[in-house]
Amino acid sequence: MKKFFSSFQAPLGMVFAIAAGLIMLMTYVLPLDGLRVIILNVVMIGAAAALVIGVFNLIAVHAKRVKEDSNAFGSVVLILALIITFVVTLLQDFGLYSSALPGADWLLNYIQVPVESALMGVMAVTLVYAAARMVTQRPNIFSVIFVLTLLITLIASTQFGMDSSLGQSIQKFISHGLASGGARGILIGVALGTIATGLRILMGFDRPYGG
Amino acid sequence: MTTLKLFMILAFAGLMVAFYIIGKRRDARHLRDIPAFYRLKGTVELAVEDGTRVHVAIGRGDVLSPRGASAMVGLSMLRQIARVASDSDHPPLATAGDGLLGILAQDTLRATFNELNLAPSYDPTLGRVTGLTPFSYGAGTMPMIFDDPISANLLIGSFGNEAALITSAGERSQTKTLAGTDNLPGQAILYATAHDPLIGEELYAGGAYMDANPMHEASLHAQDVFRWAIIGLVILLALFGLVQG
Repeated sequence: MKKFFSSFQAPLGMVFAIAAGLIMLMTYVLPLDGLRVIILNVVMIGAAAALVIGVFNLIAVHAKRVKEDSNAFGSVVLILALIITFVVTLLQDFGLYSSALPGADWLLNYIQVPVESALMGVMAVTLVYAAARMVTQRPNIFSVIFVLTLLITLIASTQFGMDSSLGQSIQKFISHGLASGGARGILIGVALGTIATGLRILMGFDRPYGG
Repeated sequence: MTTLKLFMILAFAGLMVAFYIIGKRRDARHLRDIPAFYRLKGTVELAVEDGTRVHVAIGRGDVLSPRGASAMVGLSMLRQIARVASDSDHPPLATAGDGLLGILAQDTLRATFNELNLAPSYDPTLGRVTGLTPFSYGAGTMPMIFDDPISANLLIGSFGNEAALITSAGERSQTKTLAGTDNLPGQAILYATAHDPLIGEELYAGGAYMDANPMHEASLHAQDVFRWAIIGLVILLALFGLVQG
């Protein structure tokens, strides 16, 4: 019986996905804004449920690591932090948490934001190292242009560069001329790629829903 | 305006179908060389042989926005890699920074395992959500690259600055990294940090180079036609502007 129903799962999924995609496309072309809002509201509820499933997946993966690896200290911290944040936020929302104690805002401002800022700092060092390594690992004209542009833009962004008219002109030429032209070219490519991917899904050639 | 939009979409779809029919009739493929994809094929085969794992990161593109398209390409690549590597000791591992993408990654892997009659060996934790904010996603993926026997990282999806953390983990664990994103700052970061960066629309060409299905190649040709049409239009409008003064 299970096999019988599972044989219908893939074609049904495909029909449902294509129909939903076509209806959504039509709501952008025809005056069907109301229908679009209804569909989007339903999808938003699904996406919120997916977020909860994502959190459970995160817990499952780290619980498995704690079970299998005795050195999984990071996973223990993650699970504890998740439970504490969840409980504190829940109690706060129901008004059962003392305002004198550190709450969800405190956790965000004094734990998450500093940790993410520290990661940003690590990233800055990583990028400088990567730019230096790129010239040795991929010694071609594009790598040299990349690093030279980076250096010129950095110098032009300093007080010394901002004070001189040459520095301002160079920065304007790079950011408003070359960079914005290149960015537009890349974005046209990305937009066309996005359209092609959407159409492949609408035609049923790509099935990212396991069908 | 809406009629024009519909006409453009229909023209694009028509071109894709036309190139698909033409492609079916001829044997040879007509694609420009993107060495990164050829190297990826070799890396996946090598990973199967030496018992290591391929890590596919599909990023944190919201499926309800246009950024979701890059994640769809990531899922398509995941399926192709899983078809080759699922039968090995260490099947491919997928990470996502979004709950919905995590479910889609698990579903893609489950469908591929079923397709290969390997359903009993499917493990749901092969598709993982490693973080739900950009930096938590990067930070959550890093230890996985260090701890698992990973030999190659494939970053295909929507990545911002957090991509630097993932590629640096790849560099420190001496694994190959092929990466592409639809995000402009992310592309600049990946150009500097990945071993094989994909620029612009190269990201969307993955399916065609990994032999997903002939429609992928047809859609690349349709994109080329539209790109040249847009370039021509931009030049014409610029000339028109010059003439008008």
